[in-house]
Amino acid sequence: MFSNKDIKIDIKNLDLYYGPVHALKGITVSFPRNAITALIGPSGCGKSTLLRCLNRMNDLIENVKIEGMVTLDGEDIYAPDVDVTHLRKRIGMVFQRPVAFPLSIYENVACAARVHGVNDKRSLDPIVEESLRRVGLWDEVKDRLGSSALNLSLGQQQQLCIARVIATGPEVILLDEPCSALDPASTLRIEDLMRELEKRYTVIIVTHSMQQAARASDYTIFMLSGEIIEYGITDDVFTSPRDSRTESYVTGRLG
Amino acid sequence: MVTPRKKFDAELAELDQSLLRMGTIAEEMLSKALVALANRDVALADETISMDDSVDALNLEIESTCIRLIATQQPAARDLRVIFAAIKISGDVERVADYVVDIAKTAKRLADRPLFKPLVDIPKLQAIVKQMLHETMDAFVSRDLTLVHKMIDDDDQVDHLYRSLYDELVDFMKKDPSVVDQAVQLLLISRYLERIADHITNIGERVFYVETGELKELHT
Repeated sequence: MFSNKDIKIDIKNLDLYYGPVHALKGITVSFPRNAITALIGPSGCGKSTLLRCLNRMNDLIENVKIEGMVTLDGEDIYAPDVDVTHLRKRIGMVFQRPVAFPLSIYENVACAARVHGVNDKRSLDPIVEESLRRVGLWDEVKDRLGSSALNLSLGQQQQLCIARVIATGPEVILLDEPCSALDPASTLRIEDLMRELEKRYTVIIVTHSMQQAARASDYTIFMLSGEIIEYGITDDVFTSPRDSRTESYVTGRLG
Repeated sequence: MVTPRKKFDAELAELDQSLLRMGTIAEEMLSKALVALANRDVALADETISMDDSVDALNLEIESTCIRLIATQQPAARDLRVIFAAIKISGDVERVADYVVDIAKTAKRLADRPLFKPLVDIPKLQAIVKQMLHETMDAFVSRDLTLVHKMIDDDDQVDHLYRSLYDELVDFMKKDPSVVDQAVQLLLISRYLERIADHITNIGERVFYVETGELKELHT
């Protein structure tokens, strides 16, 4: 589907076991750069597990065994010499519930840049402003950067979390059901924001809302029981899926 | 500030533009076909016929856009009405262009010798039909229903003119069998124009539906 130079992340023969449970089975797939790819499938299909393999979040879980190859711009991210902190700077992640720290709006974004060595205010200020601008939050918060982030609405908090990821200068942004705690208006706002983000970053989103995948992604991967059943251009997956199991899922007759 | 559904709105606006482009081409074809008939210009008739390809291509493009938007964007309310209307309107414009092709083909058949009578009512009919098409596509874009109602009134004129043309041509044929060949062709052209007007009326009904949410026959 893509030429080599369009591929940001490439997975070959990935198997993942949680103890005796074979959670991902022989996954081979490529994620194109500067595009939004959605991972869909019923609960327990492995979509979040697959997402978490991309920045080695599964390393934190006990009894996990991962086999196969994941490369970022051709470099093996599971190679022994990989600095995982640096990897997670290149591949940032946003979670289901917005994780706003009980700090000021400014600090919520600035702390991410500090972790990666930016310490003086003169360098931090433009990073904070630019990150908040890119998520469309700047105009709403610029006059109260010192107030607590916890006073923001949930939708704004999620935008803030995306701004925090942007502040680290990532190449890939992973979104794990980023809208499941949000109201419909905030959801549509995040989806529009994803369209802005894909111009600069590679965006991969796990969503349990297939309508969201349909609306807001360029490519869709449908997973079932730890396997990829179908991978295609989103418009095709939702108008004429090739596999009958995909058809059942997108028409609401499965899962 | 990010406005929700920016991409979807842009796609809907593009859909409007494609429909408008399709209508404009059909209108241009209609003008050319009649000039080809009046001037017995075979080359212009051929040019008219060849324009139909772009109308057909736009029709398919609009249909597939609509299917995609329904499948992926969960349209509701006005958005849904616009998409449904776009499918129907595009089909009607495609039929309009097909009838114009029939007129152009007939014009070619009539080009070998002068007509037995000057063209009077057919150009009148064509002018009204062209005006109707213009008004309806205008109404679609400007959301102005007064244009739709005016177009429906114009259609009455078309029916009236068509009936009188029919009687007149049949009269000619009764009186002089040597004109039958040409008279039948002219009668066909009048019929095509009358059918085009009916398709334009359908388009007007879809515009009415988009604006009011009401599906009904405007012409009784």
